[in-house]
Amino acid sequence: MSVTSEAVRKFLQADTGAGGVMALAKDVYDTFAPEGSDGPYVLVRVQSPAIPSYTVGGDGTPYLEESVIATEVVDQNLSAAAAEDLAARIKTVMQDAALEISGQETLWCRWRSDLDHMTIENKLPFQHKGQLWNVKAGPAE
Amino acid sequence: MSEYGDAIADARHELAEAAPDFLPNRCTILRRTLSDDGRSGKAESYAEAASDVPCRIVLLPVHLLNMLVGESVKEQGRFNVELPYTIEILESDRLLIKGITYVISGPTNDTSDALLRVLLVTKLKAV
Repeated sequence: MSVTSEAVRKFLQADTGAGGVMALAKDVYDTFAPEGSDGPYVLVRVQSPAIPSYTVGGDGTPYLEESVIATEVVDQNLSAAAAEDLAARIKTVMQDAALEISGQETLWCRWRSDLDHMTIENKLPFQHKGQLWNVKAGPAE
Repeated sequence: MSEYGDAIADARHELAEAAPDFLPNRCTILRRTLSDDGRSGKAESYAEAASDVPCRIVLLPVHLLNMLVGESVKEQGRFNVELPYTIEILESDRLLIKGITYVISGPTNDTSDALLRVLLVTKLKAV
């Protein structure tokens, strides 16, 4: 977990309207779902930690940090339909999202690529749908 | 068949008929139906195929494992379920026993001389 992934998790949990993330998902979790969770659920994880950028000759304070955050829908379902709908909603609301990152100002939240695969675990099919996001943040004003 | 062979076959037949009387639990067999999900995929649903089927569920003497299933931690106990040998069961079926749904992992004694049908199962979800 990072301050950025935590901001993404809270942002998605705040989408509570009709057709929103919380209407389509049971919940949004950090990295893994708790034991006994019913799907579909959303996992938010840090794919790449915040990488700082510095000004040459500066005081060593990064002017920018860039993270890659994964948002992954998991659904124990032979059909991908429910997971696709939820992933599509996340893709819509996350683009240019005004994330509230602790101690930082969000400069950029843009789609990077999709995630899409299915696994069979204990003879149960699981759909995995989602995205990777580039998130850039600078020091809070 | 020899005289002894006939006697053994008769005894086995009687044992197979009597075996369900010693199964203490009852289960419902749920059978899968596949349908078009409208997006080039299949949706699955389960409906009751048989109810009040005698059974016995036995936790196998192996350690419970906490495994990651669907990116969620689940305690994976493995169980044997014994059913009457004559019962029709498919590997895609599920069993509902005392309110808990079990997924069939495979048969453990698919032999012609078994008195009971024994299936290896896991819980559908941690409870």
